[in-house]
Amino acid sequence: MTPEQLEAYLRHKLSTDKVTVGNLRRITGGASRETWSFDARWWDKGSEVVQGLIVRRDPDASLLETERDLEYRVYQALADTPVPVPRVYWLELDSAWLERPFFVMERVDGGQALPQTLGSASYDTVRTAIGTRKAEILASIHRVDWQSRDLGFLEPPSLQSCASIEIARWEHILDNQALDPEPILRAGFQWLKEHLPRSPERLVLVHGDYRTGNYLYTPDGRITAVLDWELAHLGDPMEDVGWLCMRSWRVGGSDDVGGVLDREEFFRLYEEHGGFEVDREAVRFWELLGNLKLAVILLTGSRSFCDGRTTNLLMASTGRSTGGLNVNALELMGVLEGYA
Amino acid sequence: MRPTSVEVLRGIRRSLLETILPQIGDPFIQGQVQAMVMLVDSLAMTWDSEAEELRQDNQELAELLTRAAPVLTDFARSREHRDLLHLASRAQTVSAHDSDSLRLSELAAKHRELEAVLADLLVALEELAARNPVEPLLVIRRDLYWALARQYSRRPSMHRRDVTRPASQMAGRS
Repeated sequence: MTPEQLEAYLRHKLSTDKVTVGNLRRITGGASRETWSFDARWWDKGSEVVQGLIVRRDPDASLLETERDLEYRVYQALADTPVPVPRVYWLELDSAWLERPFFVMERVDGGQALPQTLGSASYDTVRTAIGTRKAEILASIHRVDWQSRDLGFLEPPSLQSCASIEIARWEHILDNQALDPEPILRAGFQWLKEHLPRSPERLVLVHGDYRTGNYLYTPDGRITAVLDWELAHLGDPMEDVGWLCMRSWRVGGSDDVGGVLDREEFFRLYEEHGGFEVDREAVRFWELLGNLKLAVILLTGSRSFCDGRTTNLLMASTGRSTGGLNVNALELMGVLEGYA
Repeated sequence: MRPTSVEVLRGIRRSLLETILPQIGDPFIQGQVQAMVMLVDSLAMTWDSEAEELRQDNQELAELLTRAAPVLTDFARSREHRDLLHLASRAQTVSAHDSDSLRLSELAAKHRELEAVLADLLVALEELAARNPVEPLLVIRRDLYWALARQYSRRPSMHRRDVTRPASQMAGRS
């Protein structure tokens, strides 16, 4: 991607001849979709406009194939809700502009997403505030009125089928992507089918990847944006709760949820801020599904690498590191009691 | 022959960390080099022992399947459980054929064969454990899971310890 390509696109969208693009750089992360940051300058009604923007472009290969317009439409639907999200501007399906489809959104400056920084000593005094806000935002996501917000395109499942649909979805991806037999993942999916949770009382908007790393936080303890909505869907609110409880997202050796708050304290704050009653058994179910889902996502990246569809070494590195997720899954299935 | 393969890998790792990485300004390319360091690190750690560990893992799984096969057969016959009977036969067959090869590709192929039977067997055992738990099958199930837990714990993983430790610290691991 070059500044000239972006300038041409912005000239077309803004109907102006004077557009310049600077500081174009690819952001690490965003393994399912390429993320690029840049500064754009143009003239509007006689005054200069300077705007930090983000391009989310379809990748050559990714950890996961996701629908390109889903994320864009969810961002659009969440504008002006209590859920902090960047404003989106254009969804472009024509590959002529930047070789692949993409969308453009506002860059939210002043915050950062890196989990390791959140674990550092300089955040000791604000980690609780960030955790509290994180619980509050999760409750807000789950309280979004998805029907009036035009999120019906996410194909609502029945209350009874939320869990089965997610099991089938990830098992299907495993069938298509795994290069090895993956006995623990297979057994884990069967365990889930035999231990379905109670149906949720309401169908909610599920972020699908709500974890440390997918929100921007500030040194004074605020969360300025929730990002990466490509796995959003309608389902059981406990799915997000289980996902963020996973060991993979803990920071600095802490057992806290996402490295920010004690698990029970997080549950209490989530409920207090309007979230649903936390069903511990359902959380265990979704935490197990989360481990299997993450393993499947990483194996998908590994497949892309082995098939030669990408040279991104992150895919090779993460694909080789799913051993712990398998062991976590066995623990959550309760089959390692007495194991030494 | 010196440097040995492991010494070469460690040298590549040092070069990436000390010579190449400091010259790179682009954060995305830095991330790629850090991934490279982690991969080389992981190769260096497993290079010497991988064949031996795979051989032992295969042996362990084959022994467990050999022990499980008659129990599964008895149970499957008593309940006229055709699928399980077929699985018992597969368990017997896959564990009977062993090779002396120390080639990683052949050991890995054998491992995949064993794990394929194991995957189907564990799915069947999960179904039975939930609906019709029978002590001898629960013991087989437990032994298989414990063996897998030991084997998977040895693999490189970011998800048992703190996944979000700074990349520089991960790369600095000896």
